[in-house]
Amino acid sequence: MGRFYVVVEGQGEELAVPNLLHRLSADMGREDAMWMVVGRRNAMKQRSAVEAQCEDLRRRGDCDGALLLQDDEDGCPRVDGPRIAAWVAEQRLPFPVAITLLYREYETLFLACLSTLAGKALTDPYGRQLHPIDPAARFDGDPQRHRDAKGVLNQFFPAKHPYRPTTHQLALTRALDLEALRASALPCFGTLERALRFVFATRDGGVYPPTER
Amino acid sequence: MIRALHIANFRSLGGDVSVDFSARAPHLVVLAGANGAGKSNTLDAFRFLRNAAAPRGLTAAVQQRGGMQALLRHGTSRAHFVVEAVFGEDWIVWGLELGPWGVDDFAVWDEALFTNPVEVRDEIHERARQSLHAEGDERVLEFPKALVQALAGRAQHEAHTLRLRVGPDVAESRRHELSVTALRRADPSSPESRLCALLDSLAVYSLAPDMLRSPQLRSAEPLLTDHADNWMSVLLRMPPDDRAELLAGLGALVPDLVELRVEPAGDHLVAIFEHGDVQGAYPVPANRESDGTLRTAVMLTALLQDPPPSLIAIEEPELAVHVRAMSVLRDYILPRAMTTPVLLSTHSGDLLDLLPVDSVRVVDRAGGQTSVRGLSARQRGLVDDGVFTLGQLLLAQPLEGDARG
Repeated sequence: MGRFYVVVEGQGEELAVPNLLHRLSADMGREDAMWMVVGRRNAMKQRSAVEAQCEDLRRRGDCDGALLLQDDEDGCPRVDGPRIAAWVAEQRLPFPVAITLLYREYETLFLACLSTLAGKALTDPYGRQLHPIDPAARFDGDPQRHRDAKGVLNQFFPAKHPYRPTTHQLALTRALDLEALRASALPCFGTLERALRFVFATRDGGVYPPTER
Repeated sequence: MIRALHIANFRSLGGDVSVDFSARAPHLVVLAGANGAGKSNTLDAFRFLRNAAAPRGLTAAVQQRGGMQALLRHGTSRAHFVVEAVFGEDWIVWGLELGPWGVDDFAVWDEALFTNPVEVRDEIHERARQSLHAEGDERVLEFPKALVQALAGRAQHEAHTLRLRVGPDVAESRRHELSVTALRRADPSSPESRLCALLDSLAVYSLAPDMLRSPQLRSAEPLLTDHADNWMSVLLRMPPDDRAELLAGLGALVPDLVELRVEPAGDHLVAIFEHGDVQGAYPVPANRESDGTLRTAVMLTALLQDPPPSLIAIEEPELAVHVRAMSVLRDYILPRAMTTPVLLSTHSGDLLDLLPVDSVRVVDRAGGQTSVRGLSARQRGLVDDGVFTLGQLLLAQPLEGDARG
């Protein structure tokens, strides 16, 4: 069994991301991988915050691999990803660490396969039923172009029952059709899958994405 | 919808204090600043105007604040208020000037109501700003007064834009009353009626858990009151769909919460929080519930009101709420602010980190005067560049207001 840690941004993601990672791990033949949220940070673009997080992971002493999963809203993942990876690499951790920047945010994953989520029954983290997305919901276009994916999603919820990340992120993640997400060719989802493969395939220290030397 | 409140010389507030809601959603303003900077006084200005708009309310509103001298900032002789509201293409501006009358009385020194197309707003604002920086006798020290003067200047050419102008030479019987409330008409679409309806439903919440523990008398008051002493009545009337939304939010804080209900107890009401464990559900009356759960329940009730108040202001929403649950508050504040102006005051860096930086206003007190301004360009740059989050900045150094206002 492998023990893996993930750093996320928000409260909703704290519940949703382990669900997504367990499913993706199973698809890669790693049903044994145990993903645990080790922290919520929204300052991972700061060197000091990344270094502190690395030190925390090192001191745990039981980490087989880690993932730093952050939103990159107005950033550029091709620039920001390697930069953060370089900071991590300097820490010389004895286990693999992958950095995945969601461009632009976690909800971008939902937009990329919105039609497959439309009308599906949703329950909140505590089993209470939630209003489903409008069964007619469709999103055409590039999900990454939209700065406010939450706002777009919200258009497909009843006005009195808006999209709330703390209650909906896990519900929608559970309902995600991973094949549809792959078929959407959303770049940051591809990066996430490559990051997981890297973490599973690397035995000692190493960082993904590769840093420039 | 209320667009702005401009205030001068009310309690600690200086001559140019504005709470300005963005025309684009979210309509959210978050006041951040040190203790004693004037955040509560800024919120109280909204409450003062609502109290003043009630029948014979102005005298009571002044008395509740210790009389006119206590209401005025030290060394000043007039308090000014201007409310701006936008309804479609109509821009409605109501101005009020209060000051002492004789030894220990007070009077409405000026009251004016203007209607204009919203497209002239920027031009009028610019003209008012110019008179703050004019030379000699032309110079006006208070922005609300300058705004009224700029509108009055326009009204000389566009006579129909002036709906009301009342000065201190009115009959004595009217000296302690707002004239706009007397002009309220049966037609709810008249500017006077719209403005009065807006003032009536300004909601400014200061919530103390102890107030929420005792059984409450039944109340027909439609809106949740400032201290939520009618919370259980509002909860009782809440449609099941809204109650489900409330429960979902509370459930994110208190995972074992399965139901929130209100039960009659004589002519009082009691709120019961039902928790669940492996042995089943068990009731916890409000008097035994935690401070944070009670406050959050009331804040979510306030934010879910339908129809909503014209403004929802909450003083320090983070009090007694677990720091990791701030995102639940954010999830109810932001959707409400898409359609209803929301005003918060806070000391919580964790809450600030979850809200748009554009919504933050720095409340500062220097030279005995409170100012309310956007974040300085330097500090804004630090946040935009990821050097600090807003919460980290709050810890690292005092927040700085933008010198340009």
